[in-house]
Order: sequence, then structure tokens, then C-alpha cells
Amino acid sequence: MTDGSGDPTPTGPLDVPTLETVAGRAGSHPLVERWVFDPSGASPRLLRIELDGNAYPPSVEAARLDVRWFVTDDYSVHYVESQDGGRYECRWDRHPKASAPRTHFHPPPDAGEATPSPLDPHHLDVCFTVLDWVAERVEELHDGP
Amino acid sequence: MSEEPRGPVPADGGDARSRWRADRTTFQRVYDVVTGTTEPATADEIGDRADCSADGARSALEQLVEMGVAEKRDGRPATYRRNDAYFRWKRVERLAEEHTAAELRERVDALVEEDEALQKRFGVPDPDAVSPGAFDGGDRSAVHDRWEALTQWRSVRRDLRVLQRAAHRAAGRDERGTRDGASV
Repeated sequence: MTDGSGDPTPTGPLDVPTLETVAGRAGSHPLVERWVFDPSGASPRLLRIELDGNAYPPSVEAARLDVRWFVTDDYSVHYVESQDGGRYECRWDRHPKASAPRTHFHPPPDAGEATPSPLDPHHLDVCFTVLDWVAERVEELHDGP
Repeated sequence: MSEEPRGPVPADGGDARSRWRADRTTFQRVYDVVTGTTEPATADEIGDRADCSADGARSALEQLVEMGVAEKRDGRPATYRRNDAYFRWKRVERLAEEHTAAELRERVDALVEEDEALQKRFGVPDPDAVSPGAFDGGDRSAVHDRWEALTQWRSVRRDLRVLQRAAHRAAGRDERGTRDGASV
């Protein structure tokens, strides 16, 4: 799908079967506490994956992944960590964007300016890569500055 | 989170992909891959993604085709993708099973309201009528918000159809239940 300017036009509805598979696979990961569809399973807008707070140091109050996946294989995976008095976040995205490649990453600590991402647009690759990233993040937090 | 932190290392070790390989059978991994495969792919490609041989993938895929989960396109080589009709049907069935017709109609009404708000916001009657120009300019978060709103609108339209079918199905079931009850 392209318009006259060569930019692809966005983009399809949420892909529920793919999100269910991502939920199931993430759900069996030891760092994942539980997952829910928000606002409801009947008409989901995102998949919320809540991470196990007991794996984090006490300075982290909660951590979660908000996952959207679309039938066009576009997606957005948002990592949000609530800390004492602030938050730490980043986002893996695939969607049309004028100032960056379709697949890009908004880096932490504040999901800043997009940088190109080498991630394969395959639901399980994205799911596993992000979960491995979370495991590394937890490890770093314990090692401390 | 008052409990003692139990530390960073996942209890059973290993990265997410190797854990998946260890925990799921070949058939289950092919199923996991196929549920997200919307473009036709060969047994070779699906085997690559599922960490199994092309033959292993093909035999799982043939079973999934028989079950209606996947569809096959004959060719040299044959290709497979998920069967969207199966997943739509499954969603309708599950909703009709888990909710009453009244609950489902309530959700339909809420979605109709959401749809009307989005028509107003974009100033067009249909998500397909939104001009790509609507995504030029503006700051980063404004563009991101518009992108999210449009994908949300498409989901609303699709969910409306699904929930209307589920409500219809649940109503039919409730009616049968009443009739059967009355005849006892």
C-alpha cells in the first residue's frame, strides 16, 4: 500500500490470533507474572504483559510490556518500568514513519528519537528478542551502576 | 513488591527461544508459527521459523490444514498460511460461549459510540477514507497518536462485525434454552 509520496499508508486492525500466540509464549517465561487483554478480551486494544516485580530490585515498583500487533505485521512493543519517582521506557516499533525506517527502536530511558532496528518482522522473533532484552535489563539493574 | 527480590536469573536458565524449543513439541511450534503467518510460506520457511526440518513442518502443516487452522495453496512448492476464517469463527464461538447476548449487545453499543467519535475526529465516514496526508507534519507524539487512533478505528470496525455475530449466536442459543426449558 503506497500513496503518491511513496510513504506506505497505515495500517490494519489488531491481529488477535498473533497476539494470543505472543501472550501464550510470553506467559510461560519465568519473568512474566501474567498477561491480560486491555480493555477486554472481547474487543482488545492491546496485550498487557506484567513482569514479575520480585525479579527486580526494590527500586523498581512495577514493569510491563504493552504489545500491539496488526494484521499488516506492523507492531509496537512498549516496555515501561515504574521506578521511585519516575519511569524508564523504550519501544520497538514497526509502522510507517517519515523520519525513520519502518522498523525502528525508541531507546531508553525515555523512548527517545527513533533509531533503525534490525528486528525480523516475525511475531516469535520479536517476542523472544524483547523477553531476552528484559532478562538482560533485570540483570543490569541487579549489577548496579 | 515487598517480598525479597529473588534475583535476575530466570529459574530454568536459557534464552527465550531455546526455552520454547525445549518446552513445545514440533507440532506445537509449527502451530505457534502458523498462527502469525498471514502471507503464504513454504514448509521450508515455516520449518526454519519453527526450528524443525521441512519434513517435520510439512507433516504438522498437513494436520493443521485438515483441522482448518491452516490453508494450503498447491504449487511447486506448496505454500501455507493461517486460515483467517477459522480464527474468526473461533473468536465468535468463544465470545458466544463466554457471554450472554445482552452483554454482547452492550459491547456492540459501546463500539458503535466509539466508531461515531472516530468519524468525528477524522472528519470522514470510514477508516479507508482517511488521507495519508493526515500523517504528515505535527510533532512526534501527535503523529503517533493519529496512527494509533486509525488502527484503533479499524479494530473497532472488525470487532463490531465479530461481536454482532457472537450476539446473534448467543441469542439463538438462549432462545433454544428457553424453549427446551419450557417443554420439560
